[in-house]
Amino acid sequence: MKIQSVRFGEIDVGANAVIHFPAGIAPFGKKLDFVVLAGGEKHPNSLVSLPYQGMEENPQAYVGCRLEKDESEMLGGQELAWLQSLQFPQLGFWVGHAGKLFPDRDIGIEAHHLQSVHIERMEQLCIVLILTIEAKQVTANLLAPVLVNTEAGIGRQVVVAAGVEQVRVPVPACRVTLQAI
Amino acid sequence: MLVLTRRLDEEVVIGGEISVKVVEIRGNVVRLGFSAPSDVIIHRKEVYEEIVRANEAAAGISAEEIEQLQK
Repeated sequence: MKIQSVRFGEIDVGANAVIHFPAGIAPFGKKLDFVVLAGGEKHPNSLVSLPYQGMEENPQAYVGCRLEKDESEMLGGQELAWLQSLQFPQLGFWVGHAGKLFPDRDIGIEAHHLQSVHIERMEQLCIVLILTIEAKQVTANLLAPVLVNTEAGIGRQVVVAAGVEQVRVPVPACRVTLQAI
Repeated sequence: MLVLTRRLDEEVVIGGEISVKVVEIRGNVVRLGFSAPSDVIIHRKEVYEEIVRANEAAAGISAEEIEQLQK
């Protein structure tokens, strides 16, 4: 199916790549659908070069539950991806794989968070963090990570123990570089 | 604002689908329990506002701007 993205133009994605967010993403409304767009071979695993404005090549859509891997790889092995809204072509978020960006940090996910996206096995789960890219700094929202049940195609932004985490935590510079265009 | 008085263990129903229960009262602190369908988000107000700010900054666009663009 074809979807419209202001950032990347018209993109072809599989219908099974759609992730439904019953509660949406605040404050953009409820019952929103998103797809994950991740870069291709040009982005090696350990270091992702991210064009700041616009990508020349069309990113590929990855469906984590369709890959033959032991754990969910919704971002196709990449650290960063673009979460594109289907309802609003102007709406999208840079997201980062929580475990890859902050490997030594406990993200604080609790059982009730997992229940909210019907996780029964950990392989179904992918945790991404919404990133803010400003000037030459990338920060991640560790207070409100996004949980995705890649098998069921359900997503939800949850809040972890408030007061401990922050909404703009700098992403370690060695993991992400920006190329200003 | 609608103001209702409840005692410990009493509940309030909102919209027929959301319920709020007073689960504990300790001094001037009230603990509230919530039941709601999956499309409803429930957060402490200051946390909700912080998340909205962060999400709009990350998206580079506000909900209001998107609404304007739909017209």
